[in-house]
Amino acid sequence: MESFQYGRDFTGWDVGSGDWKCLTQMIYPRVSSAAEKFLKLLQTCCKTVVCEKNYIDLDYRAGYSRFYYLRHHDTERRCTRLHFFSRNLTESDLHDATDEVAGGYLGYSVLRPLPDYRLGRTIFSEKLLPEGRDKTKSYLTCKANYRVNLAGNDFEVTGAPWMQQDTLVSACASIAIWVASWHMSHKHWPEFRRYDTAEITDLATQDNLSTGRSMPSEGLYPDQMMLGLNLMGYEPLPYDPSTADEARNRCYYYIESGIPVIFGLYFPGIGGHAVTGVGHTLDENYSTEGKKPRAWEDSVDSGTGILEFWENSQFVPAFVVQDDAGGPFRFLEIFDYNDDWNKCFSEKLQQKVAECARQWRCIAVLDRGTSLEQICFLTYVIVPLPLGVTLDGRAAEMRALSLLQAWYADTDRQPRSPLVVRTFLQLSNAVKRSCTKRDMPPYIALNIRRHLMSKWVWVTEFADLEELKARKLVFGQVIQDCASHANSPDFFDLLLFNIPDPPTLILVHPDGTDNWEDIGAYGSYKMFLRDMAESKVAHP
Amino acid sequence: MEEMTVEMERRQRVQKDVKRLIERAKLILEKRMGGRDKPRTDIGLNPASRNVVHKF
Repeated sequence: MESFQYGRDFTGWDVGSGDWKCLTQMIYPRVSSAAEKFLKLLQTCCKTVVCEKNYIDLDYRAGYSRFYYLRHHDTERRCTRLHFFSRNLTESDLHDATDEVAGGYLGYSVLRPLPDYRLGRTIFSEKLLPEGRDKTKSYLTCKANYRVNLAGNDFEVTGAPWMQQDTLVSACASIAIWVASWHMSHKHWPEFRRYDTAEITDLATQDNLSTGRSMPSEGLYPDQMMLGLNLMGYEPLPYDPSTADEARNRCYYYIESGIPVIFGLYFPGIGGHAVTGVGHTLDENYSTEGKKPRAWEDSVDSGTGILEFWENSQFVPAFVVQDDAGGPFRFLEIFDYNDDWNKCFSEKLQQKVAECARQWRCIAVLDRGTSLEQICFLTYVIVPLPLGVTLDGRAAEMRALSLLQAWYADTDRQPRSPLVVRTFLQLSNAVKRSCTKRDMPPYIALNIRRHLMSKWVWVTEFADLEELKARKLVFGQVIQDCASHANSPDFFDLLLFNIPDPPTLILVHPDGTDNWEDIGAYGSYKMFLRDMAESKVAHP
Repeated sequence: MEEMTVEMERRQRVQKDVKRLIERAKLILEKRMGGRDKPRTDIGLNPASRNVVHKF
């Protein structure tokens, strides 16, 4: 392997030829599927690894000062950080990195000076995200920009965090919370502060010691995770999955919104595990084969026909998850449990599987069809929602569909059918920023920009299946206040509604007054994409 | 031309009352949610820990 030295502490390795031996020895003290997956992702496009020795890592340092220092024997304090590039680098590239070098930055990983579980704080670029099964397109929806300094060169990487648990300061539950909160603190700075894994474990066990001492960590119960998230400034939303279809639908609202979702899993005969959803795959052919659209019969009015619609989650085969034990960017698929799944578990686990099946009805399959495939039960879901988002995704979508049905009844029209519905939570400023990039009718764009909205809004977009498939176009939307009251149909906090049949724009103001405007005929416009709404103002 | 006239007439019949439209939507929503008298525990989301007795 060719290498170069830059001072005492920086070494560059050319791994483009496929020689990864030096790295394998550093990160693989024992066989580990996390390390295997980690390397597999890098091997797709990484050409140079720069090793930064004697690095002080803020997360490991926090764990050291909270726990590791207690040993009488010396524990190493300094880490090693590896930086990954998709280009071949030389010593001079580190002296003054060009834009081309910076453009090829793929992220970094901190190696902790521990005997095992070495892979610490890691940021992997979205460029390392693989395609889903059957070549479905993958989207890293929970991504943020991370700034990195390497020997005085500033780099930026758009990606998602990942880390292995160290089993002492943090178990998988602490890591799952860390992945979610690390993303939220970088995406929505300064709304959320950064927490290290030691703090997370302490906060989660602060008021509930049912798992014993906080460290060495014995893992966390869901209640402890909820308490921890609450103390960290989130309003965690729990969800108890009952069917695969419903679980996919509920989780999709948040993952599509860029809000990570924590999946609780149970491996019969092994125990519980937690992973964090940060993206999803999408069947961009919108194949309806073997699927049925949802149908809302006219429950109140007569003569408006049936509203048939596809939920966008019906075209989402898998979620992208960060799994501390199985590696970054894994795929998680959800299925309904039936007796066929028993065959996937060994003979001696049958009794345990039967016990699990009495409690949980959903099966989760990780990296299906690969050598790293794992099968388990999906037991619960926690969504770390920002404070004040009191309306959940399902309630928001049901309200939007109720309004659409009322609209067709009111205007005496047959609903467009079947349509595709996509509901997501966004900062209203992001929705406003995106307006000018979506070929939206100028009058609607103008009114979205100048309309007063709550900080976070639920947006439900309506699309024709064919238009969405061919050109990613939508024809109408409902925007609602995120702080409406989910359990009470008395509250219906509509902010904006636009629809082309007939072309109308409705605006509702905070004082309850409204505008109902007939507008000029308009064609469909581009769906909301997160990349259209990036702020130009940088933050640390 | 005839189609346009029909469309114009149809648009004139619409009452353009946002509050009334929302009331109608609320009624549809209420029926979808199973009615006003449905026990609250069946509305919305259940506590995740109900069935979870293991740690992670």
